[in-house]
This record gives sequence, structure tokens and C-alpha cells, in this order.
Amino acid sequence: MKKSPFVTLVFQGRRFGEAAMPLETLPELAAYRDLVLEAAKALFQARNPTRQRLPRGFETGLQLVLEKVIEGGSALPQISRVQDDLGLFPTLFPGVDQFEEARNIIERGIAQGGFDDSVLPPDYAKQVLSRFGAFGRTLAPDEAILVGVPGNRNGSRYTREVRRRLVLQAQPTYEDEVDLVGEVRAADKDSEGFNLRTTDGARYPVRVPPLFFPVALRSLTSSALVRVRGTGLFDNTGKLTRITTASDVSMTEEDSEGARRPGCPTPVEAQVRSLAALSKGWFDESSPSYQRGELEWLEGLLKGVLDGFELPTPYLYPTPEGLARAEWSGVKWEVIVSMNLSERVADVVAARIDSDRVDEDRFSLMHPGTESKLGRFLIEHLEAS
Amino acid sequence: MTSPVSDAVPLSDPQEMLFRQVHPNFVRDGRPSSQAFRPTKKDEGKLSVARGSMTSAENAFRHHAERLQLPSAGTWGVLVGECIGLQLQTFPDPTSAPPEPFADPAHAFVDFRELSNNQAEARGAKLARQAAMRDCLYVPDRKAALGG
Repeated sequence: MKKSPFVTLVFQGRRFGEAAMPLETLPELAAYRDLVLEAAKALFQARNPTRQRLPRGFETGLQLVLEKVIEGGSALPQISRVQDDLGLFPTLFPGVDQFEEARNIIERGIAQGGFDDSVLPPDYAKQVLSRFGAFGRTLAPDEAILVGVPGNRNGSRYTREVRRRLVLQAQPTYEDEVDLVGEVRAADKDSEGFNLRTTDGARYPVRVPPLFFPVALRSLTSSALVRVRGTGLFDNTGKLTRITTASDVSMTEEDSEGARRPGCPTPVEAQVRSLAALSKGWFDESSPSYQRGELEWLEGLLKGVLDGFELPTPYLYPTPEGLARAEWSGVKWEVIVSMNLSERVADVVAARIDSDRVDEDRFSLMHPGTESKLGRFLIEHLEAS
Repeated sequence: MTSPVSDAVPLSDPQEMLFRQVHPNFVRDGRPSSQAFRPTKKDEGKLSVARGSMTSAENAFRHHAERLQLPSAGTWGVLVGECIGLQLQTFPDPTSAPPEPFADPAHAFVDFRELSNNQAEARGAKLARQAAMRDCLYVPDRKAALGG
């Protein structure tokens, strides 16, 4: 057996400092090998259109091994090809090594964002392009892999965006890793799925293995946030449409990013504007319209309290009596603030989810400093666990 | 609608769904306001619902919006068992025509009559939370149901 350097893959990004390859990125090496193999198959089929099958031992002809990871700053896995020195798998084209040719095509395809028809006919090119879906899946938006021939560190730069463009040439959608935080809605054990509402208000169907169902059901019944990691399906505009496979569903860590319960995705200003748009009689003959000056005061009050106490945006509703009603669904409390805008009085009711406890208070907001008392009431209930 | 007699038998199947129509201005980004799950002053402590054993979420919407000509963003639902868990009794309350313009054999109500205003707020908020987790059960028009 003999070994010879086959490719240079330079992993760039903060994760890859000090010659380290995070374990979760190791599948990239196998995905690269599959990509080269697919390109070699496509080349063979394009040049031998009458042959129905690949030669015996074709796939085992490409054996790549990771020897070591070298260099600081970026991770540079040294990947070599192992070949049988007895020549049990002779090259198909004299003078040309089909796997090295496939490697070169892959590098050029990355650099050019696709394959020329002269290199690979369109049908065969699609076969290879779709294989890019598995390569680069673990890359973060600010990471890249430089793909080059051995000894050359200035290879073609491969990023998530390059991957997306290549895959979309072969199909209308593409898959990518997703890592989302949200609340489980409407779980269905029979269809092995649930709907996830993320902290920005978007909803995605999630397909999940049965072993994660208990966690999903806990989130469903207690409105706890979950973190969902897995594979998402994106359309050609880059919009996530669904999570095709969840590889992990777990409760969120305390203070993790986005772990605060979701607030209303519509900003306070826009919600207040929608109250201003209601005309007299919007609910019944006695329901009044809202006065501009009162709504300006309401907007200032809410923005001040939300910013001062870093509260999630409430859901704001009109009431038939002409009050403004702000509602929050906390982890353990439902909180309702009913504001009489002309008298500048806020009545607050907080209902504990897991007991009969109800806390209530009234704040006369004409008095300086009362906003802070209101804010403290809200934060104490919304952050309670 | 008729007044329940004192010996009216409460609904007892905890799995029976009770459909509730929600005014479009009480829905914000898909979330129903908790005031949609407590009676208004005019309701005299009775929160109108439609029985899931006698109608569907779509037919409950149609009765409300098309026959009675009342605005609704869609049908949300809570279970009889969830009401019982909050010490709220539910009663069948079929209506007939006349005196109502249309008969509604599926009509029922959740009884808030003995509760203070803040108790009603608290229980309404918990019912709304359950309904929101279940999501809208019948959406006539997605834009209307999302409100805002």
C-alpha cells in the first residue's frame, strides 16, 4: 500500500484555531470523499454512455485517510489517498487518474460556481451538484473551506453561500443545518411531528424521531422553550420552510440566547398604530375610538418600561370599553395590564399557570416613579420560573 | 338564548372540544387575547361556545360569521376537561328559533357567573393559553386570523 497527499482542505474560522478540528465537522471529510467519488462516477458515465454499470471495485478505488491536522490559525487536515501498490485497481484511462481528475473538477466547480458543459454534460453535472448538499453543512456563515491541490493553500473558497448556489442548480430546494429556539405547538405523535413557533413568531413543521417526543410534549404542556437542531429545508430564496429531521430536541439552557419567552413580533409602535386605526363602534355601538394624544402617551409608557426592564414586547389589544390591554405569556405567569388611557391608571392581573395564585395591583401612572413599580411587577412575574 | 335551569347538568366529557369564535381585533400575530376567553359585561358571566360533539370548527365559524353575521378571525378551542381543571363548569345551552334568528343546538357556555372580575381575568388567561397552544382550529382567511 502506498499513501500520497490527495487534497488540501483549509478550514477557516474561529472554531478551527490551534490546529483543531471540532468533532462535529469531521463528517465534512467523508462528504468530500463522496463528492469526489460522485464526480468520478459522472466522468466515467459521461465517457462511457453505453455502459450500464461501473467497473467492479470502482468505489473502493478511492480510499482517503486523515493523517493529522496541522498548522495554527486554521485547521488543515492532511488527507492522503491510499492505493494498492499491486495495481489491483488499474486506471481506466491510461495516463489519467480518474479520481485526481474528479478532484480537480470539484475544485474548479467551486471556483466557477458550477460545471462547464464541456467538462460534464448537464445531466451528469446535476448528479454531482446535488452531492454538494452534504459537503459544508456544518459551516457557520463566517466559516469557509479552501479546497486545493496538495501543497497549495490558496484553493477555491467554499462557503455556505457557494454551497447553496451549487445545490440550487440541481434542484429547487436545498437542505442545511438549523439550530432554532421556540415553543412546541400542536404535537402529533402519529405523524411524528410538531409545529415549532420560534421567538420571532415564525412557525415551522418539524419531523422528529420518537425518542424526542417526551421533551416536545413537555414544552407543549408547559410552554417551555426548546432548542431544535437538525436539518432544515430551504427554498431557492433561502427561506426555511420546514425541519425535515430533528437530530436533537432539548430544553433551552438558562440565559441562552433567545431563551426568553417569545414576545410579540410586531413592534409596539405598529401595534399602537393599529389601535389608532379603529373607528368608533369597532366592536359594538358603545365601543369608542382611541385619542391620538392618549396613544402617544401609551407608546411612550410602554417603550420606557420595556427598555428599562428589558421586557419582551407585549401583545397589545383594544377592549370594547376603550382600554388598552397589554398581555404577556411568561414561563409561569400570564400577565395582563389593562390601561385606562384617559385616567392613566393601569390594572394588572398576573395568573400563575401551575396554581390558583393570582397577583393583582393598580398603578396610578400620573405619579412620578410609578412606571418603575409597574416595570418591577412585570419583570418579577415574567422572569419567574 | 335560553337561561339554564338550576338543575342543568354540566358537560362531563373532559375530551369534548368547545369551540370559541374570536373577534379579529382580539387576534395579534396569531395569538388570541385572553379577553376572548372571558365573558364581556353584556354576556352576564356566560362565555358562549359551541360543542365539539355536535358541530365542527368550520361549521361553528360558519354559524357565527355567515348566519349570525358576527365578525370572527377563526375558531379556537378548549376542552371541557381544561375548564373543569380551572373550576369552570360548562353547560349545554341549545338555542331555538324563535326567539333567536337561527337555532343552534350546539350552543353551550362556560360559567363565569360566580367569579370576581380578576378571577375571571385569570381563568380566561389560562383558557386562552391552552387555546393558543392548540392553535387556530379553523382559519377562514389566514390574513384575517393573524390580525394586526
